[in-house]
Amino acid sequence: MTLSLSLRYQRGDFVLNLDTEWAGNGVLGVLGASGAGKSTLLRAIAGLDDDVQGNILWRDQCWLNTSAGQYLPVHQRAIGMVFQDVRLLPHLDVAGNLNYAQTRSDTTGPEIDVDEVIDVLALSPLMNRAVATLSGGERQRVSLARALLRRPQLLLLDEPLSAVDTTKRAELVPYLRRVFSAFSLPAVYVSHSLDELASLADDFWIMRHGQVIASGETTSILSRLDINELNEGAESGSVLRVSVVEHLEQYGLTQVALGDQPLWLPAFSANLDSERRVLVHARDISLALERPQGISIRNVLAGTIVEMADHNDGVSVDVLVSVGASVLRSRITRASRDELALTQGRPIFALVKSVSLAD
Amino acid sequence: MIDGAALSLSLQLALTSSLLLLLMATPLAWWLSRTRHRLAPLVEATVALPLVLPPTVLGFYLLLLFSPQSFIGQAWVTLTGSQLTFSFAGLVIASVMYSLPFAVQPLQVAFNAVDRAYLEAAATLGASPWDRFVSVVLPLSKRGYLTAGVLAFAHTLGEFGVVLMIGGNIPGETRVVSIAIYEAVETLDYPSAHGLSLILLAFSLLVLWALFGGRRRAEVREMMR
Repeated sequence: MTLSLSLRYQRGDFVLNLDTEWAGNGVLGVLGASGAGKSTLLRAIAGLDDDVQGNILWRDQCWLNTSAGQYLPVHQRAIGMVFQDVRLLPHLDVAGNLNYAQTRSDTTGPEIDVDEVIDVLALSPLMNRAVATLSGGERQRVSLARALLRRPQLLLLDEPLSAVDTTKRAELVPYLRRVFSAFSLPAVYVSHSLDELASLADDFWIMRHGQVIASGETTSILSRLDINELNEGAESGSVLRVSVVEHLEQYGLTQVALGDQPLWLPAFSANLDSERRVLVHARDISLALERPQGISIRNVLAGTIVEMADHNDGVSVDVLVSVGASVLRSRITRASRDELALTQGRPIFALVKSVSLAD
Repeated sequence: MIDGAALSLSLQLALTSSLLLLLMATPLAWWLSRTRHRLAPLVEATVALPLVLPPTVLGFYLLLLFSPQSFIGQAWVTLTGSQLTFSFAGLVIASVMYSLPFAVQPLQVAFNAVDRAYLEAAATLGASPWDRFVSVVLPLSKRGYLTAGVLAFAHTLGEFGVVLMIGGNIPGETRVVSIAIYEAVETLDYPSAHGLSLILLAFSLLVLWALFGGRRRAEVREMMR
């Protein structure tokens, strides 16, 4: 494992207590309610709180080993951090902030091309602006660029889109995807937004009360019904791996395949046969006992009920439907479940009202 | 007849002292702004003493400390071959102690205002503690340094009691403007007293005017953002 953590930290009533590991490839999404300890975890990895006890091992470097009295200071850890409250240096302009990171960059870190960073994050019109005149989204982009130009081995992102309104957020998520793939940097991405993480993360840690209560690969962890953090709210859903089959230009659709079944999405550009991830919200999936006829919904998937769990709200129930090798989460009412007499193992048709691209 | 030597000596003294003060006050103010040490309030009180003590009290103790009979005074004589009392060097040391709160307090206020968040951000960008101080704290404390420098300079320029106690009135060595004015008045040489007083008055007003003007402009700039 590339990142192994064993941490103990107490402040007031809050206790961080975790022993866990991560393979260190792609994006690790850390999900949890506020106060679950997500920011504390990132600060501990960065070394910003000097009273954290335990061990941190990154690749072959020991960043912390309190029993051996080892503590690698923040500025010597190969991290790039994006803070929730951004923290651009107020006495420097945008170019100055980027230059600050560049002149202190880790020369042994990954090669990161300045022009490429500026290009991917669309920063060139901002370069001479004073930090205070930037909008929330612009600040977040500059702060991300600054973290990249430090040439880190590991990116730590603490709710990097929190200061951004919802429309701007939709604009920035693709930026982040481009950044992670363009520079192939491992990243720990902390958020309380399941949608954001479902779109970005390859692996998940779920945090609650200062502990990691569940972890695993995104598609598999999203199909667990026993984790409250994944069940609550309107964002519950599934991430599915599909392959691109055909672009239907006259309808503005792209056809993809989930296993051997077709799905249609609003047209996007991608090579045929390439693998993509799509996000489907549980509330956007209805269930039917027979394949419906004379209906405008095109996306109908045949599958089998594998698991059901009543929701805390007393009204709805989450139903997991296996479709080939994938698992879909559908949220229906308990009344519907009883009327349709749904049981485990029953063949079922999932009507998908909305699918969006997740990468 | 304007005493040019006294004027130039005052300027030299104020300049030397305020430069030394800024150098010394920086680590002291930084420590005071960050520490939770239980002795910090005592250190703060000691630094602030010259604000409340009559200059003659400070001057009296310094006179005892500087005299060749004391350990410090003797050590100075051994090291430099000259006495600390009634010398320019003695005046500089006394001025530094006397004006210390005027340099430490503005810097401490400025350092306190530097948000830790920026220092943490700089650390994650690879800046060492010393680098963080130079590249983040200093630029964000510019106005504190300006205030500290001007106040220390102006306060040293106007010093009288301490100089009288430990410096006396040696032309070219310890006879600063305030002493020269005092002597002119004592000897009923009012034209000289008028000249020097007017110069000191005008100079002090100009310096403070520039300081407050600069501060106001900076505030306006900040509000415009």
